[in-house]
This record gives sequence, structure tokens and C-alpha cells, in this order.
Amino acid sequence: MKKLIDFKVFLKGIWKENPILFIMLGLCPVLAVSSSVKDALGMGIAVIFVLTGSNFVISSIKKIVPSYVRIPVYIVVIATFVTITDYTLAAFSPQIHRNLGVYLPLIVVNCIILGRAEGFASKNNILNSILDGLGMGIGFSLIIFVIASIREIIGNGTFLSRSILGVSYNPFLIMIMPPGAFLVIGLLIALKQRIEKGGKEKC
Amino acid sequence: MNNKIYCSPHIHGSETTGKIMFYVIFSLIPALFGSIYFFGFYVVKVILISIISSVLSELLFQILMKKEIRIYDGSAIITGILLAFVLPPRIPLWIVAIGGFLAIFLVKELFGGLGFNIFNPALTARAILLASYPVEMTKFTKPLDYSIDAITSATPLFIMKEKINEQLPSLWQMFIGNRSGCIGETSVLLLLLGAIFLLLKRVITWHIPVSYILTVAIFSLFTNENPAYQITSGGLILGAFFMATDYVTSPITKKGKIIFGIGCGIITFLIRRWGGYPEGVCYSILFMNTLVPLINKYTLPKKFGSKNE
Amino acid sequence: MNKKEIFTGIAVITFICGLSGYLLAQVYKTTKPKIEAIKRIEEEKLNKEIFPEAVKFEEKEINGIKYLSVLNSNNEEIGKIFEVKTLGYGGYIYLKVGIDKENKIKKVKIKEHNETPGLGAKITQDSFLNQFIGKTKENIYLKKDKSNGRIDAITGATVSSRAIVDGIRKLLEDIGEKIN
Repeated sequence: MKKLIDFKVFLKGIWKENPILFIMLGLCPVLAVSSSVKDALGMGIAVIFVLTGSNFVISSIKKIVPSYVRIPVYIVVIATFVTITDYTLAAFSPQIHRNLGVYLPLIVVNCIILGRAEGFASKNNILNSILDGLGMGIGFSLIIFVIASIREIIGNGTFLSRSILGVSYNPFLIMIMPPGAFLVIGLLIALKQRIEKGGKEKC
Repeated sequence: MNNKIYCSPHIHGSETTGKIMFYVIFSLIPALFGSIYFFGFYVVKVILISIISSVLSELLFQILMKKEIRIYDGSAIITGILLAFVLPPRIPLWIVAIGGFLAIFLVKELFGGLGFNIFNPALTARAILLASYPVEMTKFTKPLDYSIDAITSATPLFIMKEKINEQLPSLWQMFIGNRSGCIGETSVLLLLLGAIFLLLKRVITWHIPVSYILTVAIFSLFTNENPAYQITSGGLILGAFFMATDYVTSPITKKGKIIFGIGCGIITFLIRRWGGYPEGVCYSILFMNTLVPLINKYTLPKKFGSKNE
Repeated sequence: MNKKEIFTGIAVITFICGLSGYLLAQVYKTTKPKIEAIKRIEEEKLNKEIFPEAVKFEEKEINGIKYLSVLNSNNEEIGKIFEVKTLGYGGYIYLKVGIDKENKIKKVKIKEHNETPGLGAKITQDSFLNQFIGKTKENIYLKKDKSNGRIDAITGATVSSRAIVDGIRKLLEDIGEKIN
């Protein structure tokens, strides 16, 4: 990983080391806002922005930050980006801002952001850190989008708030309740394991 | 710290599985005929759809995952019957089909199949259905009304909990099963017949059912509830003898079984008394299912030569 | 840890916090007017949705209860809009309740809430809120809570539904005691 730009860094976040399906960090917002596709997309975009931004900044300042104060510095950087996102969404997309509610400010304590800052950006060059942030963010967004699509379609009969299964559809309500999120995430993780290992491993 | 992961133990080899499964099915037959008598021919359809859906789901999974086909061992049939037993008598058939699929595909096979599931499949399926279709899952009908849109009638537990203006069935009616409730849970008499058969054949032991039912009775006494009604209403008898005793999802040792039964009893009582739902048997067993590995850990005898932690 | 290390640590954190503070101040300054404008417009829109024929809203207070007096083009009061704060599942829910001249509910709108998306958040749907139109306080109970209740709870979101029902009923009781 000594290359200036390594595109594998970007790709691994999307599938192999996907933040939701592999690293399994930052699941709280995934569980909370994935009951509707629109909110999930808003959350995804917010995470991409914060993750890329904080990775960029933290990688740039890694030389001047002494290791014993790095955690508070990371938190300040992340909190700054989150607050910027918060204000911007409130100003330009009040609907999504309202639906994301408390989970938007909570991105500050989302482990995936701090995890990438500590685990990647603080050890790698700026370009790769940006790529890592983008890759992880997009990986996060894709999966939260898939989860939200499944949950909204089955649990509410709608996609992006438009009815697609018709009025006679009796929604499978548990899908938009918290247990539904656990079920779908669990099934997707199992599916990923199955695809990668081909079911060869036994208990 | 001991970080080893133990798989759920197989209690029995495949040879005896079939026999045990046959005993369990046989023990459910009196209650099955009772339910047809009390709720009409429609419940036959419910039970059949439930069994078919369970067995087909198992077949589907085993084909999809290229596993050995093991639908003949009878376990899916039992899950199907038990699932039907915990559904209301006029439940739409498509919900039953979904329930069978959930019980087998999601709860049993995805966790590794027979012997590896953490939760009781039939009860988990019921819990999911109750959360998903609350209207259909709480529509109980009057016993002995055989028409398809039979008159709805509150269950005894609901009458007691919400203190609504409806006549409670007499204790005799409760005992023989002439009351509203889920398909297979109403007749204490017929369920006990099956349970005694299982006890005599040593398929189940007395530890879980007795500690479970006694706990509920004792707590009822202390809180001025009528213990006789508490025991005969809801799904307590069905749950205590046929669901809580499921090999895979209950502790192995006698001491463990008693702890399990008492835990189920306390949670059932708490839910009935203060919870949001009138009945708590389903959730209490599922909750205690999650504690089984812990109970096993503390009640299994120490291996010879193993160090104290 | 020697003195120099402590000093660098403090210096770095101070610098980063200062920079972040400056940046946020700038963002706040640029977005604030926009956010407030949106809030004002939404507030106005909400009021107009409750009383489409209204021309002017005036803030008033009687016996400690604040409300908006709704005026039509002839400057006559055609109703009042009250704000209700009630504790839901995910924190406080803020409602706007329009009352017409006969003290019946004209319309209810949700101003702000933090209920679970997809479940409790359905309180904002008209199918739920329109149930309140024309009701008096005797009927504002959930059907499952009281026999004279006329409000259907949202499936799976009893807490949120009950919070709104209770909040509105309390408002009507307050109005009955203190205003009329």
C-alpha cells in the first residue's frame, strides 16, 4: 500500500470490506433509518460526505497531530463535518433533515467514521484516504439502500413513498419495525458469506 | 475466560429421531381432534397448509443449499402442527403459509437445521406474524361456531386483563377447551392426555412443565389472580408441555430445566400482569431460549481434569 | 510526558478547535437566514393549511394560554390555532391544532416530531389526523382505550397515537376551563 493512488482501496469498501457487511461498524443508523429508501439515501450521502471529508483532513494533518491527542482531534474534525452537513441539509433539504432526526448528529459517534480515521487515514496518504472514504461511504450507502428497499417494499408496499404493490397488499409490518432491520442485515451478511465462501465452511 | 463456542448438542442419533418425532405427532392428535370439534372444519385447512408450507420450505432450502434432503424425519411436520396450534382459528390461509416458511426457512434452516436452531421455530414464526399482522392475529372466534365468519369473542385472558364486559367461561369449559383462543391451545384435558403419553414414553421430562406451571400459579396466588384460570387460559399448557420442552432449545440438565421453567413462568406472569399483550407464553419461552447456552454453561458438570476458572 | 509534549498537544487541539469553530461560524452565518426562512415559510404554510381562508394571524394570550388568532379579509376572528407539546415515543411531538368558532377541531397538523421513521412517523399522515376533525373532547380517545373513543391508532404505533390523542384532549379541556 505504498502506491500514491491504489484503486483497490476504493473497491474494497464497496464489497470485500464493506462497512456494514464485513466491518459491521456503525450499524445503529443503518438499523434506525433504513425503513424508508429516501431517508436511507439521505443518510448515505451524509455519511459519504463526512467520511471522505474527515479522512481527507485527518490524513493531511496526521504529521502535526501528536498521537496522544489524536482521538479528541479526530472527534473535533468529524463533529465539524457532521455539523456542516446538519446545517446544509436543514437549509436545502428540510424534509430529509427532519426525517433523519437525531441520527444525523449521531454520525459523530458512528464508529465507522472514527474507525476509518484511526485505522486508515492516520496511516495513509491523502489521495488514498479520500479513496478509502469514498469507497467506504459508497459501500455503506449501497447496502443501506438495498436494506431500505427490501424493508420499504415488503414492510410498507412502497418504494420511495410510491405505492408499488397496490392497495390490496397487506404489508409485512415487521420489516419496517426494528426487528426487520436485524433480519435483513443478518440475511445479507449470510448471503455475502455464502457468495464468498461458497458454503464450504462448516460449523 | 473460556472463549470456545459450543454448537447446540445433538441429543439423539438419526435412528431414534424418527421414532421420537412419531411419538410427538401422536401425542398432538387428541388436541388436534379437539380443535376440529371446537372450531370447525376450517382448522383442518389451517393445519394442512401449515404442514405443507413447513415441509416444502424445508425441501426448498435443502435443494437450494445442496444439502442432504431430510424432510422425512418428521420434524417439519411437528413444527407445522405446532405453528397451526398457536394461530387463531379463522386466520387467513396465506398468513399460515408465510408462517410455515418463516418457521422453517428463517428460524430453523438458516441457523443450521435440526439441532442448531436457537429459537423455537413455531413460536418465533408466531411472534413475527403477530408483529406483522396484528389485526388478523388477534381475531379470536367463539367456540362451536363453525361458520367461516364466526362471531368474534375475546379470549379469557383478554377479558381478565382489560376487565371488559364479557362473561368468563366456567372452569369446566376452560378445562375441556370450550373457550375462545388459538386453535390448539384451548383444551387442557386433551393436551394433558398427549403430555402424559410423552412423559410415559420418556420423550419429555416433568422438570420444565411442572416448574413453569407452578411458578405461574404461585405468582398468581400472591397477586390475587385466580391460579386455576391463569393455568388453564392462554397457551400455558400447550407451551409448557410441547414448546418449552423442545430438545434443541431447552437446557440439558435437570437443574437447568428447572431454572428454565421458572424463568418462563416469571416472564409469562410479568407479561400477563403488566405487559402490553394479554398473553406472554410465546415471548417468555423465546426469551428463555436465548438464555439456554448460559444456563447450560453454569449447570453442566465440570469435565474431569478441567481447570477451575 | 515532558513539558514540550504537553505544550504541542494543547497547541494542536487549540488550533484545530479554533479552525473548526471559525468554519462552523461561517457555515452557520450563511445557512441561518435560509433555515429561518424555511421555518417561517413552513409555519405559514401549516397555518394556511389549517385555515385556507385566513388572511392574517395575530399572536394573542388569554389566561396564560398562547394562541394565534386567525383573521379573515374582514378582520373578523374565524378561529384560533394552538400549539400543543406532547410526549411521544421518541421525544416531544409539536402539534398545531386549529379550533373554529364553535370550539370544534378544524384541523390538526404535526409541526415537529422525532418518532420512529416508518412507524410512529405516520402520525403526520392525513388518514390519521383527519380523524380529529369535528370531534369534541369526549370522543378524543383511542378506540382501544375507551368505548366512546373515536380515534383509530396507527398500527404498531400506539404510543405515538396515544400521545397525540392525549395532547389534543388536554388542550380542549384547558380551553374549556380557561378561555370560555
